[in-house]
Amino acid sequence: MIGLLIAAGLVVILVNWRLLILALGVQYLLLGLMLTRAVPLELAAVKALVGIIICPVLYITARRVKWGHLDEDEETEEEKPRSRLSWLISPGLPMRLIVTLLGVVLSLSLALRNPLPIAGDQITSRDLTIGIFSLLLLGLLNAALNENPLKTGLGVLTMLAGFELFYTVIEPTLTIVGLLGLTNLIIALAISYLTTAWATHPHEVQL
Amino acid sequence: MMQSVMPLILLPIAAAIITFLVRKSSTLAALIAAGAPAALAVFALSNNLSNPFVLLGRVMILTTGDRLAIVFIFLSASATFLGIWRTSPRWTYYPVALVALSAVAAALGARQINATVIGGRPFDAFQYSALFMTIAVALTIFPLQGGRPGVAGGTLRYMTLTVLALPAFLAAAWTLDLYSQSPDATALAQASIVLMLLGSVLLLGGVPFHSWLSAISSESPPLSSAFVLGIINVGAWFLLLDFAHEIKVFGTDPLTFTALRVVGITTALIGGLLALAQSDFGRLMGYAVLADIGVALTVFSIHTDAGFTAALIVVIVRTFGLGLMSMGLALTRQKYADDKFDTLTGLAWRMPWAAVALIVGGFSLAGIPPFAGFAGRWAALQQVAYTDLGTALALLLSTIGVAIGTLRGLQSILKPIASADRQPFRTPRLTILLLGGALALSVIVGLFPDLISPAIRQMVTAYLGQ
Repeated sequence: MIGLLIAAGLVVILVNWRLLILALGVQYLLLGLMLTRAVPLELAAVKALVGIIICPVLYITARRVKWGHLDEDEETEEEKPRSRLSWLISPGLPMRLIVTLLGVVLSLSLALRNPLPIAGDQITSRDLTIGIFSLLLLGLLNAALNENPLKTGLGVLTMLAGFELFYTVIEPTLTIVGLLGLTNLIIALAISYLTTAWATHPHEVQL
Repeated sequence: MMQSVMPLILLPIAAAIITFLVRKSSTLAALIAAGAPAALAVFALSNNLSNPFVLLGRVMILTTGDRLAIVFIFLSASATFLGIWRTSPRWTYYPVALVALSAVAAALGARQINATVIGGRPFDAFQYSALFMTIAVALTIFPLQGGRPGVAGGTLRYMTLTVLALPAFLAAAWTLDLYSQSPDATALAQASIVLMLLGSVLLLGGVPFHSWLSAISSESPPLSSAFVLGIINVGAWFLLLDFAHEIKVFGTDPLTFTALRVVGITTALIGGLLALAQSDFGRLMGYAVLADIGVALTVFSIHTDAGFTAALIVVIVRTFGLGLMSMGLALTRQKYADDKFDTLTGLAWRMPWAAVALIVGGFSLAGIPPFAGFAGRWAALQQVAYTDLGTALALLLSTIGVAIGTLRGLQSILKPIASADRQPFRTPRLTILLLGGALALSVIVGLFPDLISPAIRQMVTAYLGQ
């Protein structure tokens, strides 16, 4: 559960697209692992598998658009001296860090006070509730704080992942899980499409 | 099998595959894309299609109300594809749009024969409807972005806000399920109503979740916006009608209709006021639709058969104004850099057909006689005028706002230009024919609303009388 919180937090904090997609992949794997505590293994595996399919889609897109580094950005960056950790630390990091910590604390506090009665034993219910609230809140923050389609899209996917953690436990039918997976895949493709469009300069296209 | 919802779900997918295969011939692809939903609409109109159909292990049945709703949606999609064919030759999203259409049909057709059969889970079908609707929404992101480089803000907002409706609806289904097991727990009923309201307003684009409406109208290809605002949004309306009828807790609680009334009036007023302040036809169209959504929500909240009928008339006649305005925008964008009033100064001299489509479309969306939108606004005002003067005034103000916005645009496009610049752009005859037909239909429906209102009443009776 702690790993899931860290992965979800990193999706909000980081700006490097390689690390973001890696964090999303880890988040999906840990979500699948967490689900095994409450639903049959095959359903949890479907969830993790959908995430594993989404990550390469986003990775290929990010690579195609040069990891979001537009030509103009590169030109301006060359003028500045770059620190060794500049690929990790970027403007706005303290703000994102504070927002993430606040989000995690708020979701922990909410989950501990009002655990959702969705699993057989109390501890599993509590852990699942923490995971659900954290993913929903951090996903919402990520979607609200960013304008670039990849970051916003990861926020939407994180939110949906949080909701699915809840919904797969209460509705463990393969059809619903399959349809939710299909929805996630179409949204991932849409994010990929929007990211490509966003990162393409108008002058690169022949009109 | 053929007498069930199955053809309406599977045949658009088959048409999508064919249009994909013939994508190099844009005319053929457009004609197949326009022909398939039109043929299916005629088929649905002439057949009952009430036999059960098993999809993904679930039995689905099409009710009469939903069948008529699908007929309307398919006919609108067909007209939209024809408009796209004549105005946007580089549009290549027919396959995606057809699959989205199939998802809308699945969302409206996802009904159980008998809810009690499914182990006491009466809200199963509702989850499927929400899921299929979200799939339709997600698919429309592709045509909405339209391959325009560097532009993604509006579509991103649309995706984020409308996809959020899915968790709200599914969580509502869960709380309703819990409530059905413990009918004394009224807090669960209240929670489910709030969640359903949230999902509905998110999906419909009501205030405060409306920011995508104007953004997509100004950024996206105009007829892609029309597809979303005139087909997906209308599908969401029919879904709301289904929920209000089928889920008694939602459809009978005063909280539902009070909240919808507040959202409706706010949406209508904000839409009207913002439309008044625009200096861009694309954004004007977005805010005019926002005002229209507000008017429809307000009369829907009256919670009478006549109110439901008036709301549906508003939603259905919106298609005429929206179609005309988006066709006008698509034509002007072929020759002009943007839709700003200043840029389009003197448009009436250079592209008279596009100018007429923009203005008539704008007036129709505002609800000005003698255009189609007037039928909707008149029906809405009749419902509120005698009972609530304040609401009637709010709806009137929203109409005035959109009308003034359109008049400001008209002032620009009628401005005289130097005679050397008056050389008109050529509009193909087939496009003029299509525009002329749409204009004539808009005027006929505006002058003789009784031509469509009996069909809408029949639709409402079918919904409420099920």
